[in-house]
Amino acid sequence: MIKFTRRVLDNGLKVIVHGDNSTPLAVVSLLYDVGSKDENEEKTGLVHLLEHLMFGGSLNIRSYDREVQKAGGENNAFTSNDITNYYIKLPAANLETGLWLESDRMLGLNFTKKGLEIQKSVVIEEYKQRYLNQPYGDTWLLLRPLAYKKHPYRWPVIGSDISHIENITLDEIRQFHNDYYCPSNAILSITGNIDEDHCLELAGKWFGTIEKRKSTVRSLPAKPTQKEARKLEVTRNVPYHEIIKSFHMSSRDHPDYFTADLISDLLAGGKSSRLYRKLVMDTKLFSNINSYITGDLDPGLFIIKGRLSEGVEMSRGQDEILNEIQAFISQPPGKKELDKVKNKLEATRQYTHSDILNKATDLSYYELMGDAAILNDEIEKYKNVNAYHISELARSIFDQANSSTLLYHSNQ
Amino acid sequence: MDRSKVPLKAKEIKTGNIEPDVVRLGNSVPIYMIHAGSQPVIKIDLIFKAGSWWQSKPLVASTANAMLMEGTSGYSGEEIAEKIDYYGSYLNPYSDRDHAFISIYSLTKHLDIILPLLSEIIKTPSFPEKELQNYLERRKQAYMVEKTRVTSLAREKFSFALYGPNHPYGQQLTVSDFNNINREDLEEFHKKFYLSGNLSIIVSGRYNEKDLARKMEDLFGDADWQSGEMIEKVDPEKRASCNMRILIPKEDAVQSALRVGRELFNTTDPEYTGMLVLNNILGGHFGSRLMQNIREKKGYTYGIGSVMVSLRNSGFMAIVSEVGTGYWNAALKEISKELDKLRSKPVPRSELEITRSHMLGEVLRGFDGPFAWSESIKSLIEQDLDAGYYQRLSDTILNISPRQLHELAERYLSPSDMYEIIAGNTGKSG
Repeated sequence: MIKFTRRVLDNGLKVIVHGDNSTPLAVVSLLYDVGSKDENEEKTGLVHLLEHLMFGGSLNIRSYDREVQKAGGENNAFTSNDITNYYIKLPAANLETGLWLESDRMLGLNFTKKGLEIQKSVVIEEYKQRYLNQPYGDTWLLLRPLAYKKHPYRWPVIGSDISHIENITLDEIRQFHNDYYCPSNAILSITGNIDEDHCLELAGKWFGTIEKRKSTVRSLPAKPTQKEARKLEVTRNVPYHEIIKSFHMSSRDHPDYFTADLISDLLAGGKSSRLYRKLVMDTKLFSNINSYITGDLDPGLFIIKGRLSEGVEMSRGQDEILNEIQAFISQPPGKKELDKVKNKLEATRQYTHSDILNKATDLSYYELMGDAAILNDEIEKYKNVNAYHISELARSIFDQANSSTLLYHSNQ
Repeated sequence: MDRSKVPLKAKEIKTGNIEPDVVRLGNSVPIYMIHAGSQPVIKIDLIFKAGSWWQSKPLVASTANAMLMEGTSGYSGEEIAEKIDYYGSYLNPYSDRDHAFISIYSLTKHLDIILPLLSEIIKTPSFPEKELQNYLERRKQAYMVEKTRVTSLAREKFSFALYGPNHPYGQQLTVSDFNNINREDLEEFHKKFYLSGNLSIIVSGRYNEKDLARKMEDLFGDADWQSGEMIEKVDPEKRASCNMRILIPKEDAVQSALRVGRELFNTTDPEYTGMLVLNNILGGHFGSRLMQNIREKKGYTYGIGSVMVSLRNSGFMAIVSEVGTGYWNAALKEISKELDKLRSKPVPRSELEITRSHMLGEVLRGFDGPFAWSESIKSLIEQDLDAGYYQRLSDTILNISPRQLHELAERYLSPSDMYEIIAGNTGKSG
């Protein structure tokens, strides 16, 4: 149970505070309700590039990083298809420095043409490092446009093409910051060795004076139901074949989400899971296999991904995965097997929440889904899932017409 | 309200009492007890001096460690996995050059089930043949994939350049090593090194200390798994490379991995903490000189950093980056320039003050909650350091002068002493 206090400022900023005196530190986490799904399809990569520019100085602060370092802090940010999240972890006594820093760059950035050009170059190197220069690194660049045809989840956060990043202008970035980085589009969480009331006061002091701005209303195309199986085959300079199967599933706030999450753990969530035991340990057809759900706010994907052992044919691997899915549908888990994955989820949450940074980002994220208190109720939702729910949902998700398969061939 | 003024309160960032209670079991195994955290969870780390330094042939140490999970006198590997998963625990065996670790996360309420299992895994592994072959095959495949990454190629070659082929820190794996290992090797290694005389334990989280100490005594405190004298390997042959620049060609790479550095010393050297400060200024954080120059001014890379690595019998510093294929030469030149700058001019006071705050914050973050805290204590155990180390480190961070840093730079940061490893499409250069 994570206790917290919540307040909404007059300008619309939501503030959540949670005291935890088991650490000498505090975290300031600021979530903006903007992700790569809010981009124009011709100018993808903009939201992530803006995240980079947020470190280039703001209206009253020349160097963001220098001030964080003076305060003994550490900071970073991440951008997803759904959100952009900034955070600073710093000695609790310096909490106010964190609020000063974050509020100033919400107020406005100090954009320069030169800064933009450098960050474009940095992001292009990031693109190469993460996606082009790693074995199997372009998997998601290929899978997204295969699984999504209309919805903006079809492009990756970093951008669908390097030329998009190159062509983004300063004015476009400035406009985006103005449209989306406003108080009413953000959720501020503060956790750690803090006094909750004092914290709310400080949040009001630094963020309350930021003018209310009209936030942009989001309108995304719905994802049309997929009617037939899709497949993409590529050949790359990697040592082994890989199979990546994706299936459409519900959004994060749908009751099916919890069932699907449990299914992914039952199938290949650890060393005692079904696919791991069968395909890695018994038949040795795969050298590793896992399954997980993307957990997006809009309808997301259920992924099964396996790397074949040396010498195993691609078709054999595909057949075996399908067989195991069929076996799963016809033999749903018994009580013990189901309890196992529920226990694991519950325990994992406790480990995760031993860290004030995770607590802060989670509180913001659940508030974005409607109410930070959902964070404390979710375990119940998992507990209520039974074997019937599991097999019903598995039957509907694992329909071949609902699948997109990426076959990643080795040329060696 | 004046937004141009920093609302900075605490100028001095202080770490409180970080020394854990130490309980000794009957066989004198030390348990470091850390009480912290907001959740009812516990982490237990078992640390054996059983890393690759001690092995007589490649892969033995890491394989013995990983195979602990794959079967014991009483349980099959599948049963172990099942049990650990059922109680929502995580059991991670891993090993490095000097040590082998078994770390377990558990809900505190399940300790009575998890602890006996842990004891069995450590004391009576069965190293089953079928699981061993399976493991080696998977590990070989992972190795083959790793070899397609330029960073891995550069990392391996760097250690090789520093220590040479006959030194345990410099050994490179080959594919045939995966066929030359059998279960007798593992049994022998286990018998020699997984012993109470060779073990330290850290417990962190929320738990009852008395109750836990009693359980640990029952499971790990008996005398019959003590070792005799550990025989330290004496002077393995170190043969550093004569080539200061080594190119590893990989034509299809779109970035080149760089590794620039040299052998230095470990935490026991009185100059170590000073070098940590110098290294931090050079490449230890986002505002560091390398990052500001090579990423933020030139845009050659997504990231560049410099690390100090301390091993039991050596230590080194390494500057690490992946740069666009056309930039590797230019990046190396800039790295040399930054090294020379530290040697020719003292660090400005203002820059040093920022570094001090940043590093003190870093020390403090080492005690952020139970798990970070146990990692910090683990570093002490690995290096045979006392808990006063973090105080000494903080003192150096607060007091080291620009002149002292300048002297260290002159002594240790000469570009001509640095190995340069470049893995990538090295034919192309800007």
